[in-house]
Amino acid sequence: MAVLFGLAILMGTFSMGVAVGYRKAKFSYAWGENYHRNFGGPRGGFLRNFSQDFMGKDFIGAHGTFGQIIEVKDFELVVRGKDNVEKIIIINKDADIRHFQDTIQAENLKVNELIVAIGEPNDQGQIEAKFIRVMPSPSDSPVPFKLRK
Amino acid sequence: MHPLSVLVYMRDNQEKPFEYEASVTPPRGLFSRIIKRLGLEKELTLVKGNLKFFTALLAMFLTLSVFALIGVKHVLAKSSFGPFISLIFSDPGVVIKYWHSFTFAAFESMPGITGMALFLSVAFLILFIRLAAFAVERFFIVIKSINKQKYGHK
Repeated sequence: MAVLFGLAILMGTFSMGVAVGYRKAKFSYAWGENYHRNFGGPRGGFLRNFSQDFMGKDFIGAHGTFGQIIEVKDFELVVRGKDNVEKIIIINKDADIRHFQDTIQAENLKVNELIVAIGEPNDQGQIEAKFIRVMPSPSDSPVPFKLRK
Repeated sequence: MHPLSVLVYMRDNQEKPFEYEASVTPPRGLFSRIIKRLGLEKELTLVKGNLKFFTALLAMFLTLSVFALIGVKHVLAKSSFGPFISLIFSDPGVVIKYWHSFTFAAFESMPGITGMALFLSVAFLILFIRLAAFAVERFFIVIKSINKQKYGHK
C-alpha cells in the first residue's frame, strides 16, 4: 500500500513538473521571441549552459511575477522581478487590483511600487493579470527586503 | 622421606585424588555464562561500531542540512515564491478564485532542486538521529547486561 501511495505521489509530482516546465518553457520562448518588440533590443545569453537549464533558471515564470513597476502605460505595466527579468503585465478590465484592504484602479499604480501579479500568459510573452496586489514598500515593511540590482 | 612412609601415605589417602578432581569441577552453568558473555562482548563491539558510524553520518548530514538551509534562504531571496505564498494569508479568496494561476505561479517560482536537497538532508538527519539514539540505547542495555552478569546484581 505504501508503495502504491509512493508511486502515485511520484507520478503526480512528475506530471506536475512536466506541466509547469512546459508552461515555463513556452512562455520563455514567447518572451524571448518578442523581447525585441517588447523592450526594443535583443537579450543575449538564452539557454547558457546545462546547469542553468537543469535548474530551470533560464525559464521564466509564466503565471505571475513579483517585482518593482518600472514603467506604467495605459493598461500595461513593465515589472522588473527579483530575477532581474522585465515582464509586461496586461491589466484587463476585470482584473482585481488591491492596495492593503482597498480595491484600486490601474491608473493608481505608480512607478517603483512593488506588486505581486498572478494571471495567464499570452502568446506575446506577456502576462494577462487577473489579480494584482500592491505590496508595502520596504520602508513600510517590518521585514526588509530588496530587489537584486 | 622414607619410601615406605610414602606408600603408607598413599594407602591411607587413596581416595583423595578423586576428591580433588571433584573440587575442580566447574560450577553449574559456567559454560553458558561464558558463551553469553562472549555474545555480549561481540554485541558491544558491534554497537560501538554502529554508534561511531551513525554519529559520523549524523554530523555529515547536520552540516549538509545547514548548507542546504543557507542555500534555500539564498534562493528564496531571489525568487518570487515568498510573495506568492503570502497571498494565501493576505488574499485567501483570490487564491481560491484564481487557484489555477496561483498554483502555477507558486510552482514556477518554487526553488525545487534546493528545496529537495534540504528535505532530503533533513530526512536523512532525522533518520540518523533515530538510528544513533537506538545505538546509544542498545549500548547502555549491553553495558547493563554485562555488569549484571559480572556482579550478579543491578
